[in-house]
Amino acid sequence: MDDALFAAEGLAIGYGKPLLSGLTFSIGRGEYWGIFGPNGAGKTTLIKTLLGVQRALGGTLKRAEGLRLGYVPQLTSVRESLPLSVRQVVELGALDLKGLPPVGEALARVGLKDLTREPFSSLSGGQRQRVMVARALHRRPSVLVLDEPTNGVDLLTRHALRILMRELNGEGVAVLLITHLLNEIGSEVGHFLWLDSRESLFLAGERESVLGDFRLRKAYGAGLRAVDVAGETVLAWTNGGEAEHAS
Amino acid sequence: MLLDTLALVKWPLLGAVLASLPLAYFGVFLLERRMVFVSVSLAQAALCGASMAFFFGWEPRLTGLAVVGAVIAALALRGRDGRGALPEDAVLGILYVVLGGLAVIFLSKSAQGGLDEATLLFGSLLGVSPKDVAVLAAVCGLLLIMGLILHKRFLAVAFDPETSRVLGLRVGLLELAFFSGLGALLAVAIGQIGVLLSFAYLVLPAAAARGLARTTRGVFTAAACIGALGSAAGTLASITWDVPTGAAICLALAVPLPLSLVVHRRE
Repeated sequence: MDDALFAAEGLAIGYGKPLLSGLTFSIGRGEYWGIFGPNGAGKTTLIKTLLGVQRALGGTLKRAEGLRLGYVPQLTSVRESLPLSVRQVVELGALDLKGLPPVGEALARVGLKDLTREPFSSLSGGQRQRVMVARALHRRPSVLVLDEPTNGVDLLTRHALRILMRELNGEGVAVLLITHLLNEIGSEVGHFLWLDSRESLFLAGERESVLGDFRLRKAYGAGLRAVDVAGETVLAWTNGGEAEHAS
Repeated sequence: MLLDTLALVKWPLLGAVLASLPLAYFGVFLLERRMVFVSVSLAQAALCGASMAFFFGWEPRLTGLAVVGAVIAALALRGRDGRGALPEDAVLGILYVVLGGLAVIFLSKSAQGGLDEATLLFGSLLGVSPKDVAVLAAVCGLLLIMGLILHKRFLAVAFDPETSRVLGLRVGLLELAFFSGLGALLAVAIGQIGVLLSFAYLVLPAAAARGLARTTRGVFTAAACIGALGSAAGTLASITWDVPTGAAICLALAVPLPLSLVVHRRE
């Protein structure tokens, strides 16, 4: 618990009244967590509570000292029409920090170094999402939080982001990935937080323990298992032996 | 001849140009954030404050500032998360109507001779005195300092308020500073340029600039230039053709819009 980035005990989350309560889990340094659940399950509410944007309604939540966050929001939450250049977007994500490496380093990491001067609004959806990731990387984060990063982006960008997250995690960056697309969850995601406020379901822990939890099958009438797709291990719903991709 | 004419209206013109620059700056943010209606309601609050001041015999700018401050505080307390009993645009609409109604009633019962609704709605630019300009210049100076310190933070919040919160920017305080600055400017300027011209300065230069420029610096510069040049052109036109100055400036500010739309479409 002492080495935890986030440690929650009996946490209650929600707006005004609890959406989910009694949540207990611990996220350690350098771990890769997938935060899953259907739309409206409370994933974003949980993350906002973890990040201190929203107040917990109950329980305790401890955050590690000196935590440096990198945050990639859903693209729909940014005002893309603002006439900012790619460089400006990245710089605006680190106004509170000094002595950072040049912006180009983070942009090179996502393959967009040549677009530094381009208007953000002129980029494709996939390029915009890469810029948002570069903005988070520019902060040199110890934990990277991504909220549905593959929504509305092309397949190549999805793949590139997945590889990049894997690399970053290999370099010791903790990754918290929020998604409802189970068919994009590879073996790199070692820990799961599964939540569904409508089913009052909350599961947290190592990948296999969550996948094997009987409450998951009880809630949805189907189980989850890892399947190989084109050399990658991804998750799929299983119902009577038939694998069916979620969402 | 032109210089002689401009010399005659130097204080009104200076007042209009001074007001146009910060209003164009605020306008760029408001337009991008789709919050234009907030500015109309604040202008209406300043108008209501000025009317109350005439009725009660108070200082118009300070009363305007107090009413604008009250409206900002009410909106800040309500928040912008869309969880109130009424949608935000409905709340702003109600404020606009109620404050406008109050302004008209206070003015109609006011003992001020010659002052009517039209004066506050369209302003009385030609009556602007050196003292008025000095007060406006002082407020603009303070806003310039605020802009120099907080401009990047305003941009960060405008672009991505959610991440700004996550990264520890004090979004609530920044919003308060932004709207308090705008409110103070409107409270001071409303007696000189009126509600209609205030609104025109907020919307028209920013709307034209976003089609003409591709960078933030370009958009802010273009908006400021359109505001200043539109003020000069409108004032000159009002003297040449003997038409109301405020209305002439409003129309002059709208002139670059078609060009902006053409440029925008070509891109």
